[in-house]
Amino acid sequence: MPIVQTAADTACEAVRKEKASIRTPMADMVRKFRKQRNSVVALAFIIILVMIAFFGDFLIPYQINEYDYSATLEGPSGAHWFGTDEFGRDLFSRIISGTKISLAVGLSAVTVGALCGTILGLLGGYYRGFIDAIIMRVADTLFAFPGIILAIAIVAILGSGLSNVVIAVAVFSTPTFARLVRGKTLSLRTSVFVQAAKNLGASDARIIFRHILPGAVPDIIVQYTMSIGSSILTASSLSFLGMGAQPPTPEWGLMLANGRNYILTAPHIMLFPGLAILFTVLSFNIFGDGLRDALDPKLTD
Amino acid sequence: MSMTDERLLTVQDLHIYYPISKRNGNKEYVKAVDGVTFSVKNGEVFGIVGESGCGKSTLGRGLCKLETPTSGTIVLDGEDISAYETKKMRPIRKKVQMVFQDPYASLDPRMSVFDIIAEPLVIHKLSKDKKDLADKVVALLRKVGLEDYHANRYPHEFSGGQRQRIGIARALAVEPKLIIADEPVSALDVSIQAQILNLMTHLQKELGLTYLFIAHDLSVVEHISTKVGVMYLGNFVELASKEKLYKNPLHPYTQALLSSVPIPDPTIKRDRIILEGSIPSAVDPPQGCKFHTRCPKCMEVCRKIVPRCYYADEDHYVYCHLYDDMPNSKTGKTVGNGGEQA
Repeated sequence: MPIVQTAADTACEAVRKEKASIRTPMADMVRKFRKQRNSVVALAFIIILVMIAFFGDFLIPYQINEYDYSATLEGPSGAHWFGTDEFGRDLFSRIISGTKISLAVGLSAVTVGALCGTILGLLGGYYRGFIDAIIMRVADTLFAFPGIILAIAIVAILGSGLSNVVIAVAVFSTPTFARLVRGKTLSLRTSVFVQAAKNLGASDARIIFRHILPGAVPDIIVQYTMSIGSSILTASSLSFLGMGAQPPTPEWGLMLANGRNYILTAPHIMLFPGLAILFTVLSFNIFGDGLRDALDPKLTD
Repeated sequence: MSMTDERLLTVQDLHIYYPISKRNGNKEYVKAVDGVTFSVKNGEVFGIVGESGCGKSTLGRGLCKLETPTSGTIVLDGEDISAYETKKMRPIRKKVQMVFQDPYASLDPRMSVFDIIAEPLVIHKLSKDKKDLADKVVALLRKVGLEDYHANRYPHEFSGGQRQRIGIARALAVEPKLIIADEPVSALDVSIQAQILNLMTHLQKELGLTYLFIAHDLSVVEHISTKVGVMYLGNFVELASKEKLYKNPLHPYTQALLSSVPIPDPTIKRDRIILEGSIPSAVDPPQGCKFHTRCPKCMEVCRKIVPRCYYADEDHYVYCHLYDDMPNSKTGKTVGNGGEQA
């Protein structure tokens, strides 16, 4: 059919011309985000952290478990930028090397939590009734515990170790996502465009994944970013308490715990891992704030 | 019978009740649609008017099975769909489509216009391949007076009128026989209303569509309809061809409504019928004729007995005791609001 073909051709041409000027929801978000200086800086810091996590092991001046008993508990110097610990290990190398552990634990735990929570929230919010009641009551129960206590309980059951820390953090971040996504689903499932999709004959799966989930994605992204910060903190806390990473892993929380004994004589052993945790968590939180403002349609620029 | 053959939609004694639970544990019902009977022939434009809260939108949504009817039958194209659940309704959706009132809310803000219009085609697998899909979407865009390049834009970049065109294109995608338009122009500016109405009339003639056109604006309904039904508190009070209803309204409610339509001429003086009070609660509607609480011609009988459907003239039916001397509708088997139109 030549006529229709021309129609499609002109459409394609028009599309090419138009592409530059189209305001997609994504482009809008980027534009709003770039106006938030703090968050851009935080994002830059996060990108550096990710680079360090990937390539840090090639950059460090010393091996992470290189003992040097002639230089224990030394303060920062040209040879050891962040000083050395009680075994003479270079703190700078250990902190750099610890970056990938903290990021990996935080990211994987929150990713698992976000996936489970989103699926549960979508199911509960969309189908309501019995499933919803069960999911939300379990979530309420988990909410009743402070996060760290719950994590300790889970690690106590599963045994200590980094992989169990990931599971523990994932479990306590799941209900947050479930509740968030459920709320969004409840409001979207009655929206007119979902009604319209139903009227077109769309299946439940199509409505959930094509119409409701995209509406919840901005909220999920913000919660995801915010949760990474707090789960890195929780993972470090568990290691600090001896329930997470085991020595001699260069985990920041564990390094803090080791430094505790020397807090008066060599405070830098605690200071630098502490600062690493502080800046990492802070940057994820600021980044999350910026994303929230950029994704919230109610906040106009 | 040839008469039944040309009937696209027949609705018999349709009730749509919403349960509301009271504090004392008793269940009460909002009687949004309370026994409605009518039929729409192929190619007709059937307008439904009424105040807000009279159940006209619920009726429209009920016919699309977006609300579950409490009782009654809906026969579409010879098929009784009143008991169909979601799965069985899916193929029926190719026959009946809906245009929604609010063009801002009825389009998914995160989908491009292409995806919005392509969605029904994808759901019902109506395109052979990607290219065929693109061709069809472009053809639909042109049909409703939009440009090809609009396909890649998002709803927020369009005006209300343009969005309603997108909504119409989406409804047309499956090539339906019946389009239920639920106040499609009430959210638009007056100048845009005319454009959309003209587009709808044009499409109706070109594609041989049948419309069920729901509105609260009598002038809009007069413009587009061939047949009009006036609703009050979940029931029809009068059904007639457009000419008869506007020239010779019989029901006091219709008369009051028509007298409230503004005439664009300040020199004309006329008697307006002012209705007292507001529409009663649909939870506990008045006994007898539901309109008797506000009717200027209320009689003793109106308070007690529900009026039947009276045949006033060809294509003219009225539910009012003032016309008790007129013959009953031929099939007046359901007393009350059970009359049937030929």
